[in-house]
Amino acid sequence: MTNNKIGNFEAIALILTIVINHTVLTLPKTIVSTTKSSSLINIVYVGIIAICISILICNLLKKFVGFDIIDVATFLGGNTLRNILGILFIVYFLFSAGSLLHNFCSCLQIAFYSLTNILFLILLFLIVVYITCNFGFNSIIKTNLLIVPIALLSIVFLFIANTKNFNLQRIFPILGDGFSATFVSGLSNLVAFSGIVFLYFLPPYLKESEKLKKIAVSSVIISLVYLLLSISTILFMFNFFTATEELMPLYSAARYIEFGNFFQRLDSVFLLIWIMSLACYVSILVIFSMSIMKKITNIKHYNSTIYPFLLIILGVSLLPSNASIANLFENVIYKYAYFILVLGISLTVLILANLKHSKIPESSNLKEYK
Amino acid sequence: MKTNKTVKKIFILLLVIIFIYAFSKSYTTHSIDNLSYAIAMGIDTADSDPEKLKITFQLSTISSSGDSGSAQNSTVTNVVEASSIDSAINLMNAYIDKELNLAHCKIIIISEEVASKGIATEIYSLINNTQLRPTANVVITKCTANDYIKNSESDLTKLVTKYYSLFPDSSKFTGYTTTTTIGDLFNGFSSYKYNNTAILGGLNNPEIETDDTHNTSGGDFDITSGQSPIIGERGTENFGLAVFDGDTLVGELTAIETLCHLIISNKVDSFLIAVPDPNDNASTIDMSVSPKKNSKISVDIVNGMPYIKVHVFLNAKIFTINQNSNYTNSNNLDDLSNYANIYLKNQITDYLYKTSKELESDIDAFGNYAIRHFTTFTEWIDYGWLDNYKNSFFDINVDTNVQSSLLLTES
Repeated sequence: MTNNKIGNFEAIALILTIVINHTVLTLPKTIVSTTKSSSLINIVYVGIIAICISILICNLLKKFVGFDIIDVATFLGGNTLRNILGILFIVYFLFSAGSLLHNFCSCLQIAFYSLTNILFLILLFLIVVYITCNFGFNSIIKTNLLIVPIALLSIVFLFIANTKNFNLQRIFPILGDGFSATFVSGLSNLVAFSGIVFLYFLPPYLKESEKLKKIAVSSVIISLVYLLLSISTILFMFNFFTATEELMPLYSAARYIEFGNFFQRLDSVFLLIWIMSLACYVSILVIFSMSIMKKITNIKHYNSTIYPFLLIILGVSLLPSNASIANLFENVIYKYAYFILVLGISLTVLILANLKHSKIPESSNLKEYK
Repeated sequence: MKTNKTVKKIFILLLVIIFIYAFSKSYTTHSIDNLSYAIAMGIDTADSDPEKLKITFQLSTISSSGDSGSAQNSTVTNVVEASSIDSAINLMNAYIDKELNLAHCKIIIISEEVASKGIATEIYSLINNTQLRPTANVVITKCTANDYIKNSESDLTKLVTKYYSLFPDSSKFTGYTTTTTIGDLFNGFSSYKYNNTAILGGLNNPEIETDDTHNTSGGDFDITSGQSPIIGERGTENFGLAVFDGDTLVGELTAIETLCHLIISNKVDSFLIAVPDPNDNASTIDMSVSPKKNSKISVDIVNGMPYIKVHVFLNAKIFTINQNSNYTNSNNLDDLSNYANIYLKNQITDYLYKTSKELESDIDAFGNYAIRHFTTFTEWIDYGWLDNYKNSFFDINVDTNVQSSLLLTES
């Protein structure tokens, strides 16, 4: 699969797709609930930290040209560490795909298919994912490159079309729940930039791997602007963080859009865009899981791993029996998994691998670890 | 190889059949043949049990075309008593043998009696409904909601749905009512910064008895719904606003008070006022007034009490002209500007003290300006703005520039 090289824009779109899909669902609600009126300050603050982290990751990967985190783990701890890290990332990807799929399909069910079992909605997505994965890595990445700008534009349009409903005063009190809530406990909102997880896997796929840092910084900045627009939309429109919570606040915001008597009920168009975006996202997670599986098992026909992966996603997405468990999946387990695996274990592996690299002679051949 | 292909085809066929079956239920129940669209919903207290609700649904039937090709009114009204809105919808579904759908419901009408008990449950339940648009208007009626719906049809506006959509827009050039959507109410009920208003409706038909029809003691604009001097073909009218404290109706604003509210909140494009004639205090001069720029509002906290400054900037053109008028003379125009300033300042001051002392409800959202003095949400909650609003004092400035008359400037 490493023969599939991707360009800079495709790489940026890949990172953005995570942010977009989580933002469409619960992410803005989580951020605004945590930091209230200081959400915009908080997101700029965590955005700056995310830029620093992505630069750090790029610098740590500099010595391992064309290596992804699995290769680096092999270099550091041999096959054992490679297998452990690989399995952790597969579980992380499949869990986040399943959890997000459940939440999105729940919203679709509530809005349009009240009498259809959620299983069939999830199955529809999984069939799409199966077909796209069979088309291969390149077609998924290229489709994603087409859909990500449309999804980004949908949020810009949502922001502009709702400006008449905005109350800019909702930015006050400027510090929300206080300094500590904004800048200390608000650090948990770093999960908004979970797209940087792909930085660990991008190097082998990049046509110009030396531009990884540029790709990382650009994608985090675009994510930041995107998040600012999304959060501004719901912060300026709703009081919901004070007393009530909405299931899918951006969808609720879309329901307010009206241009005279002719253009009403545009929310369906938004959902259509977001459905395509989610299908792309799940496909990307599955194809990366397959790629990791190939690396850790060295199996020849890795394509058949799609079946167990889709079954696992189906299982995870059917696990939450109510909204409370779905919330636990998305806001607690996914968040902790991101901090522990992406920012904790993976960064530690990279740092230790760099220390090990500095101790070995320069003439050593790193390619044996790939 | 051939067997594999056949198995694949059978599998795909099976999948298609399964999905057709799975989605057919949702499709069938949501097909237009199985739905009945409510265009208005009224909420009253039930006659049999004051704890229950009497819900009136105005349903559209298949519309017919008139001679001119224009659509005609074609609605039926059904009433049901139930403990909640959703129960009422369910009972109605059983009665009409179709699923009642609120996707085209343009207006929610709630009687004063229900609103004075608190309507958060009703509003939250309705906003929780995926069919109802958050842009549907809410009217609080001085009569029963049922009477309001029955009397809303008119030959002037052939299509009642169009009337429901368009009448709140008249506020932009009259200032006597304003658009209030269910989304606005939902946001307001969960706010710690301001209170809500809703459109105030009522009956104007003298043949239908209400408590205070046609009581016009305070001039042309000192009226609310049910008090207007209009005798028209349509039985309903919408003048003034219903004022809420939290989710409970606490009072109402007259048409002129509503105008003051809209001037402060920059929600009126133009309006008419009648100021005393400087040359003859017994008569008045009508002027068309429009905002020059947005009102300037600042709120300070002085000794724990809100000190609210409002500066209003207006342009005016004169409607009334008589045989001795001279509107090219700058002194005359300045005099008229001063009279307009004094008139509007008095009206706005009276209105604001009514909202703070009498109604104790911050419907002008001054809380949005006051909150800037607080750095954290906890400080703001501890201050209790909505409880402190009654202690507010106001400083009002009106800057009206009477520019000219219309076609005639001197006679």
